[in-house]
Amino acid sequence: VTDDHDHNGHHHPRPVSEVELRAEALEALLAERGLVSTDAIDAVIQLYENDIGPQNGARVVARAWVDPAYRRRLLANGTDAIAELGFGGSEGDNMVVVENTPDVHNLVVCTLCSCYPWPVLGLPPNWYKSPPYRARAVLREFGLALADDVEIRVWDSSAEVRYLVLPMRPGGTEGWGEDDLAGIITRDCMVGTAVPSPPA
Amino acid sequence: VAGTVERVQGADRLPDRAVYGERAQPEPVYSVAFSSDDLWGRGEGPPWTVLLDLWESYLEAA
Repeated sequence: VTDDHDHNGHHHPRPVSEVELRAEALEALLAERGLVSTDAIDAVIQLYENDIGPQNGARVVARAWVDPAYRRRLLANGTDAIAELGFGGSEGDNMVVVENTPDVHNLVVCTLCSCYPWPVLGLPPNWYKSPPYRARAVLREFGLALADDVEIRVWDSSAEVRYLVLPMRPGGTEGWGEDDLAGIITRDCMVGTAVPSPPA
Repeated sequence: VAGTVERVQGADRLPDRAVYGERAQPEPVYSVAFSSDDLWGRGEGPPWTVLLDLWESYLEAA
C-alpha cells in the first residue's frame, strides 16, 4: 500500500484500480495547472454531503436529545440504534457513539487514512485527511476553546470501528422539536471539532 | 507504554495479514486509552487521552 491511499478518500486492502489512478493523476494535473482549485473539489464534496451526509447523523443526535431511552440505546449499541432511523451499511456497520459531557470532550481522527462513518456523515471533508489534522488535531485552530479541566479524548478510528460524537444539547433549545434541533447539529459537531451553537 | 483497555470492540482480521489477502483468524480488538504525556512527553497545556483501536497481537500484558 502506498501513500496514494491518502487521496482515495477510503482504504481497502486491494490494489488501486487503473481508473482511480487516472482520476488522481487528472486531479493532480488540474490542480497543478490552476484549472481546478482544491476549494472547488471541496465544494463538490460539500454538495455530496448535503445530499447524503451529516443530516443523517444530525437526525440521530436530535433523537437522542429528545428521547432518553433512545440515547441509552445509542450509547450502548450505536450500530443498532442508528439502524432504527434507517441509516447504516458500508463504513458504518460497527458504530460506536461517544458522548460529550461537561467534563469530557470527544474528538475523532484517523491517523492512518480517512476512516469515517459514511452513512451518518457522508464523505470525509478534505481537512480530515490532511496530515496536519491527523498529526495534531489542534482544536484551537478550529476555533474551539475548551476549559482546561475538560478531559479531551481523541478516538483513533483506524480499525473497523467508526465513531460518532454525541454533542451536548445547548441551552436555549428547550421545547424544540427534532427538526429544529437537527438544524444546529453540524458535521463538525459530530467529529468533535466544534460544538453546537446556542440559538442567537 | 502502558495503556488501559476501555472497551472490547469485537473481533476482526489482523490488517497486517489481510492486506496480503490472507484470511487470518479474527482476533479481539480493544480500545486502549493512553495519556498524551506517556506517548509524547509532557507538553504545554493539560494532557489529553488518546484511544487507539488495537488488535490483540499488538499488545503485551502491562
